Amino acid sequence: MSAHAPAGAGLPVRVEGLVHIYRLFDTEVVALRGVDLTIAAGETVTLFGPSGSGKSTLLAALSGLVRPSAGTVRIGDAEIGRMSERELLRLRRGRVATLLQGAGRNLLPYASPAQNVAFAQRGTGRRHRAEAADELLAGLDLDHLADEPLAALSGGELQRVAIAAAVAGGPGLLLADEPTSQLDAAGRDAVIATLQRVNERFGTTVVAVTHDREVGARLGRQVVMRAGRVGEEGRGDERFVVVGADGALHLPHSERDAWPAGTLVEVRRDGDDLRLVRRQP
Amino acid sequence: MLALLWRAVRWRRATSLAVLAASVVATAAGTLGPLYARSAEESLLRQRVAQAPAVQVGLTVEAQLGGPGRLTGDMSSDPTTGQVGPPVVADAARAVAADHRLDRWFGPPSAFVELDSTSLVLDGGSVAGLAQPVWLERACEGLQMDSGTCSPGPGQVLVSRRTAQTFRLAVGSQVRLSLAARPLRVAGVYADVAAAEAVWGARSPIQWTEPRQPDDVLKVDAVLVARDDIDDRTLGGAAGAYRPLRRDTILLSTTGPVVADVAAVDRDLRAVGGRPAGAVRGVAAEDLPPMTLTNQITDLLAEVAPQRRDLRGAALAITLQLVALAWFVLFLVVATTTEERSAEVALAKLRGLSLRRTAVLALAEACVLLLAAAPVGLALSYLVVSRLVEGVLQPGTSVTLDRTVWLALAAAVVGGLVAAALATARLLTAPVLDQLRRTAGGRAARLRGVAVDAVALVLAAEGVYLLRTGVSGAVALATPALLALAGGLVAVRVLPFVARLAVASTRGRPGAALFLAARNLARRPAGSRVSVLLAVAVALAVFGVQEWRIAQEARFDLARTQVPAAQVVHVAALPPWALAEVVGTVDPEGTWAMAAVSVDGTLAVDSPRFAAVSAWDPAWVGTTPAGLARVLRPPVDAAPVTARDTLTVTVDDALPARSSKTSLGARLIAPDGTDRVVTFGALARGTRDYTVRLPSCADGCRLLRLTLDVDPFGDVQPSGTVTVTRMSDAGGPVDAGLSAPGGWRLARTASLTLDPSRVRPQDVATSAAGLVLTVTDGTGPAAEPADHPADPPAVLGDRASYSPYDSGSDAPTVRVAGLDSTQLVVTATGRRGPLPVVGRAGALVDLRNAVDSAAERRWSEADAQVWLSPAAPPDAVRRLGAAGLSVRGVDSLAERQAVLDGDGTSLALVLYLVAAVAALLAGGGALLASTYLGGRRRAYELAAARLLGARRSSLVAAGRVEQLVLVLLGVLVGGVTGAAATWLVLDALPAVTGGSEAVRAYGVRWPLLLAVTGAAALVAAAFSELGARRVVAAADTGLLRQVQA
Repeated sequence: MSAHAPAGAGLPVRVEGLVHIYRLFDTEVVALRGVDLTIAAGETVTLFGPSGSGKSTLLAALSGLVRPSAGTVRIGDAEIGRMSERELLRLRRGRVATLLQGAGRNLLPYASPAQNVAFAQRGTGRRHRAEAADELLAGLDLDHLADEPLAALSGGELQRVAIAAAVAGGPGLLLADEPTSQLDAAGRDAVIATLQRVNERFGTTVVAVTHDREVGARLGRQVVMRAGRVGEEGRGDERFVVVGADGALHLPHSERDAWPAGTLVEVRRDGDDLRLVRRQP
Repeated sequence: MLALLWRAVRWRRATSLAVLAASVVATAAGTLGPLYARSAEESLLRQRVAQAPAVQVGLTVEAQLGGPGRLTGDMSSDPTTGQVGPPVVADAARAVAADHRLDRWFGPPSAFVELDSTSLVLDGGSVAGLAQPVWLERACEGLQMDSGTCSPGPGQVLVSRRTAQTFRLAVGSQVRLSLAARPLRVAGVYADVAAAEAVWGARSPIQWTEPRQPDDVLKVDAVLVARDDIDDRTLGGAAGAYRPLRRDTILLSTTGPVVADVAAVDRDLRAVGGRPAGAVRGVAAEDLPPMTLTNQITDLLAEVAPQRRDLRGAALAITLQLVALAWFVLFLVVATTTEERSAEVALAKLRGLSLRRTAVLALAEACVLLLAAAPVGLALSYLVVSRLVEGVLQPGTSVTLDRTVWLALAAAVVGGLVAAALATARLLTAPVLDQLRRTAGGRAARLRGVAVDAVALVLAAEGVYLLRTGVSGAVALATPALLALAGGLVAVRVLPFVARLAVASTRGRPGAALFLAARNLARRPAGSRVSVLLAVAVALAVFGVQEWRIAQEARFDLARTQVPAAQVVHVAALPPWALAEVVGTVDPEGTWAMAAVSVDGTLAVDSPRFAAVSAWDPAWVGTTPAGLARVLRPPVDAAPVTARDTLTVTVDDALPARSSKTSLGARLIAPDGTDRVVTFGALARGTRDYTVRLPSCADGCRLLRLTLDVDPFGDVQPSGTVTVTRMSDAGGPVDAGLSAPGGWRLARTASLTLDPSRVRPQDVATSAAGLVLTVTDGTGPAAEPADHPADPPAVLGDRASYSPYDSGSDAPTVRVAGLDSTQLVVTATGRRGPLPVVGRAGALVDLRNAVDSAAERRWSEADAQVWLSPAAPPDAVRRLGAAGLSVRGVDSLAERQAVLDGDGTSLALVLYLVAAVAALLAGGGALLASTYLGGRRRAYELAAARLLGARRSSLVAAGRVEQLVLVLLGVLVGGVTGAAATWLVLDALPAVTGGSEAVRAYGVRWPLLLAVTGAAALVAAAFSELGARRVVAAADTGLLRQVQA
């Protein structure tokens, strides 16, 4: 599927062996150590992980804001690492939308919600837009706020307007960084509902970074990152560890104390399954 | 889009206001120079035209009149036939002058006839003197009448008040002139008035001239006659027509047309041999004498052209600096506000807006504000220039929005757009993540900064080099900004190194203020741009104020050299000491008037009165006013020798028998200052008394000289001695010092002045027997009493170059122009400098000494002056006229000052002064904007510091120290570079101090420098204090709730 999928169609994401290293003062920091992740078109995924696990860096890589040091990132058929700045700009223009942490950072503070949506649509051709600004706001139950000053909106309303602005161009992929941070329960619920509506209405693939388990539970698939890699996944109440491209397997965090680093483990085949047996010291 | 833009502008009110203000400053700065330059050029032109003498700017068409045969060349021809009458010639000239092409520039023509002077004979047959018969078409408009009519009819004349008073004439009196066979009746008496330009042009009926030499004849004021009576074809003279210039029509826009029209009329006149197109009063054109058209407006305009060019060049240089500073201010303000806009621009990039749309978003506000500011800036500069026109320029000067102004406005706007674009460039090029994370520019940005610094340093160095090697003008005036820019950039590069040294020393001190300040200064503070801007602003201010002040002083000094008293009254020439005597009767105390005579580079002044009257400063020649009087008129021991009514000398003639007549003569000076030459007659051998009557010496005449003349045509040229043993007058013996050692000496005659080898001092000697005069080979000496210096002292101009004179003494003597037609030997006093009136190449002597030492005593056509001090009574000039002086004109020091204040360099420096003020305001505004608008960036880190426990007072103190260091560094650099630029430019731009006529050396005015720099420092420090407090107040820990990306 092309990165220029028509509006309303979600874009698949395929990340293989993604490595990103950046320089901080005199030190090189390996933020991503070979991330493998496949997201189907129209899927909703939440990214979990402790601070420094690489969630935000992965989000930045998916939006083309950082270049991979190694590995590939594909949005549809487009490989991010091979795209020029101009192509990346075009990618972000209505194909890949990013929702920054903090609603205010996604909006022009002096413009109304309707003006913000119109501003966000400015760079997008009409045929790529999801809907007209007023229709979009109405579709997300935000039409009553169209002309209100932003300062008059609650935290949840502000974040929903930010989502509307982010998806104003009809993106196939929405990357949201902590969309429910600093919100109360009602606000959080409203934001989650809006994300779901975006996904349902436009088929947009949604990837959200969050610390909120409720978001993960309601958005479906949960991916846990650790130390720059995908460590676990959750679907509903089930938890899985993910085998990496190199065959590495990360123990669930809850089991790491039982088998600390350096523990020798024997892998035994048991039919289609593998059994892990700890070697007794 | 526009609605969004308007919301954005209102949202960021403070920022928008700052950008708008900076934009107004930029556009005002860009248009101020061109607006002012045009008005200043106009003022310069107006001033020159207003002050130009009528003869220079009026238009005259004139033909010479012939006496007998003058036109035909046949001296034997009948003087009454073949000649055209003067009135007809005048009418013909009038017809030419009345060409309609000249109507726009010149007033109505008035015809005139001026015949050669002829004897004015009084009713009793005595000759009053010479008088010029004159007919003027519109005499009544130019004359102020004392009595009678202003329009004489046939057989009638008008005489002046002075003529009437001197010769007891009144209305009805009869006089004769050679041009009329019958007597002429006085029909009116006109007062002594200055020439009315509209009627007389350069001509004046006031022509009274006293005889200067014994055989001179008095010339009285002109006699106005009727047109019918002026038809004398025996006398020469001139007939013509005059049109006064309508001075207010000469503007910058009309200089071309007026020159073209005058040239066209002149060309047409020359094409027909200088004759009118057709017959005049029945006389064919070819019978009329050829006429010439005279007008010097073209020369006048050519004189003004270089100053106009210099003014334009100076205005350009000043404008470029000011507008560059304004652009820098705009850049700084916009750059300071980009932090606020960074997130929006990052958002636009995140939304995938194209570079073009993102640039529009980034720049739209600044562009709209700049465009909105353009008319406001233009209006502001128009207002400023209008005020300057009222206060500084010639009345009536207009302020015009011409093409240059509009181009300048456009350039200022474009430059402002470029400055705003440069300030926001980083927003467009920085990576989105960096913008979101507010990280600084990388290595590329730092290298760009170094490159900019290097370019500025190179430009500054080149500017200084060009100045020192003699290139001046615009480069000179651009120096201050370049030097300050270079100095500021170097200073802010050095500051972090110095601050790092302070970090270590402040680390262990109690209180964190100094440590925090040092740390912030060490890490290349963001406020360094403000330091550079302040340096440039203060440098421009210091330079502008200094140059203006120095130029003002220089102009005042120059004015006092050119017009060395509050008023200098030019009068008709008199015998020099007679002038002094007249002045003495008007001001007996010597407190407000002084006689002075200037001829051929020599200025003779009545020294005892100099200190009280003169505005010229003797300190320029290294002495005081009282000292100068002592220098020029040193005391002499011998008293003057005076005699009343008669003079008797006892002479012992010991010359051998001869056929050559040897006669003794005497020259005396009467109380009225005129000379009396008497002769005792031929001497006979042996001892005898010789007596001569002294005319007009009832009150005593001073003996100047005894001369012994031997008839050069005699057969034998004797050698021997003649001794004057005794002298007496009507009152008895006269103590003439005949026996006193050194009481008499050889007088310097013209021949001895020319050829010092012929000087034989021994030819005159005093002895116990009396005054011994030695005749050698038929040449008798002239002897003078030693009651005045032999070779009077003189102060020479510091560029004077006079030929030395071997006087036989050790004193340095040179020859200067004397007050008579010969040279005067003077003793150079060693004091040199710029002299009043005669300048740097002249000589200053005492009037009495110069008169006493004059060799020939045939007084030259000199510029006779009476200097008046500010204490002179308001009617001083009238009193001088009443005392018998014929006033030709009055120069005033204040008017001279005004003229110099109106020249090109002076007007350019006024603009620099205005630019200096504007620069200070711009710098202060930029500092304020930077402090207030840039505070948010600092607020985050200060909030973090407070969260970590730093006290508010410590943060305020740290901010205060940091800001003070930055602003005071900028002010200090600006003060130093401004002073350096002043010093450099004074050398390179001599026009500031008067060029080659500069009176003295001028240097930096340190008190003024300290005052400007100090004031700037105080204001900057106050702004910094306000800013520091405000930033700390805004550093609320709540700011830290914003989670960084």
